[in-house]
Amino acid sequence: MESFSMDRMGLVMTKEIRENWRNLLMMLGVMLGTMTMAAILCAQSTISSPREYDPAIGGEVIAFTMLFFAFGAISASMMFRNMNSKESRLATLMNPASQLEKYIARWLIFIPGFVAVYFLFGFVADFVRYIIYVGIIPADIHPVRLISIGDVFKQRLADEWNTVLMMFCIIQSFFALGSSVWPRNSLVKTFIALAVIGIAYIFIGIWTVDLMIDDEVRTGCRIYRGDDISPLWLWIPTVTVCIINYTVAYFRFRESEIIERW
Amino acid sequence: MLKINNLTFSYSRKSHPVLENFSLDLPSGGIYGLLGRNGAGKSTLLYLMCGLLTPQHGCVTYKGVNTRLRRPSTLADIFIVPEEFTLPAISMDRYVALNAPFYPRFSREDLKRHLATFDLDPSLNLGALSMGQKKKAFMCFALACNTSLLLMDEPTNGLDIPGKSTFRRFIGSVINDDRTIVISSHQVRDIDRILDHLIIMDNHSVLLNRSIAEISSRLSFCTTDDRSLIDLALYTAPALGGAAIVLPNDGTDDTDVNLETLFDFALSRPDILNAQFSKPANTTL
Repeated sequence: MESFSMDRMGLVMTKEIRENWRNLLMMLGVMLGTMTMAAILCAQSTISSPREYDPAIGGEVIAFTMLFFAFGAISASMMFRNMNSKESRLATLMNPASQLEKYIARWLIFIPGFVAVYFLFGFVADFVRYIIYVGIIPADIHPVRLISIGDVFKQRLADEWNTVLMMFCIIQSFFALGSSVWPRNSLVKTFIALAVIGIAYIFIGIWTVDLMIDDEVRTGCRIYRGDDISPLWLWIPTVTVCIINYTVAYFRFRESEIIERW
Repeated sequence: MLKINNLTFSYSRKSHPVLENFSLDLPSGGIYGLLGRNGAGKSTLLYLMCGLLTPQHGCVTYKGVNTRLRRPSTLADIFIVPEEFTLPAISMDRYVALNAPFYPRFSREDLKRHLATFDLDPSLNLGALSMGQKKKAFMCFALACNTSLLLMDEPTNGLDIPGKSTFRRFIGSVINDDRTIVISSHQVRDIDRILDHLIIMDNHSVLLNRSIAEISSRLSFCTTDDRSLIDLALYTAPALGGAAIVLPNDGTDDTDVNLETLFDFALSRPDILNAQFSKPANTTL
C-alpha cells in the first residue's frame, strides 16, 4: 500500500533511532541518572527510620510518578524536533516514506516507547538504590527490598492511578501537539500555553460558579467527587482528547513544508 | 516527465508572488541549468518541484503524480541536494545502510566509484567532515540513488577548486537518457560546460528556456574590440580586451555559449533575445 507499509515504517523507525542515537542516549542517560538520584535520596531520608517495612519505596513511587510527568512531557516535546530547522525539515520531508509512516514511527518512539523505557529504568534505578542501601541500613532499623509492581499499583489506590494515568496521557498528547505547533523550544512554549489555559479555565470556572450559585447556597456547598461515576468511564473523554490532539498533530505534520509559513 | 502548470506561489498572502502563472516542462534526460538573480525564485522552484512547498495555484506533476502528495514512490525517484543540509554524525557505511533501502535503484558500486572520484574514503565518518567534504559525500550518495530526477541547489558552493572541476566530470559521467539533473547556480563558470539546457528566470517567470545546442545555433559569443562587430551585436557588455558581445548566428559559427553574457542579455533585453528565437532557423542575419 502506498500510504502505509510496515516494512517501510520499520526502516523509518530504525533510521530515526540510529541517526539520532546520541541525542536519545543523552536523554535516556539524564532520565536514568535523575531517577537513580531520586531513589537514592528517598532511601537516604529514611536511613534512620525504624519500620517494619522499607519506607523508601513509598517516597520512591511518588518521586517516580512526578518524574514520569516531567520526562513524559520532555519526551513528547521531542516528537517533532526533526522539524526545527530548514535542513532537518528537508531531510525528514524528502525521506521516501509516507507522512503517516514517519509520524507513527516517531509517535512509537516518543510516546509508548518512552513509557516502556521509563518503567524499565524505574526498576534499574530501584535496583541501584537496593544495592547501595542493603549493606548500609541495618536489618534492625528496617528491611531494604526491591520495589515490585504491587507497590506501584496497590489495589486501594486504583482510582488514584486511573486519574494519574489519564492526566499523563492527556498532558503527553498536549505536549506532542505543542511539538508539532512549535518545533523550537516546544517544551517551554507548550508549558506556558497549558499554564495559561489552565489558569483561565480555573478563573472561568470560579466566575461561572459565582454567577450560577448565590452566596447562601455556596456557603453550604461541598465539592462532589462524582463517586457514582466509574473512573473507567472517564477514560472515554481522556481517549477522545488524546485522539484529537494526536490527529491534529498528524495533520500539522502532514501539511508541513520546508519553510514554516504559518 | 516533470510538468509545472500555471504555478503561483508566494510566501505569505500579503507578499508579492515569487512565481506567478509559471509553467515549465522538463522532459526526461539531460542536465538543466537554472539561472536567475538573487530572489528570482530558483530555490523556491526546486522546493516546489519536489513537493516541499504548496503552491497557491497550479501544480507540479512528476510522471503524472502531483509532487505535493509526497507519495513514497515519487520521493524514491526524486533526490534534492540543497545548498545547506545536515548529515548525521555517523559513518558513511551506516548512513548508506539506513537510507539506501528507501531507494530501489541505489547502487553501492556507483557510490564507491563516485566517492573514489572525489578521493573520499568509503568508511569516512560524516560527523568529522568539513562542509565541502560533506557536500561531496552527499552528492555521491545522491547520484548513487539513481533517481530519475536530481535537483541540485548551488552544488559547487563550498567545494574547493579541484572539487569544482571534479564535479563537472562527475556530473558529465552519470547522465543518461533516463536521468534529468536540474542545477541551480550562480557559479556559471562551474557548470557552463556540462549543461544541455538552460532556463533563465526573472520577474516570476521564465525568460529563456532553450537547449544549449539551440542557443549556440542562434547566437554566437565573443570578446572583441572590433568596432564593426560591436555595431552588429545584439548585446554588448564591457569586458577585458574590449567588449563581450552576442551576435546573431547564421549557422556558420560554432562558439561556446558564454553563460554570463547570455544571462545579462536575457535580463536586460529579453524582447530582443526572444525575437531571435522566434525567427525560423538559419535566417537570423
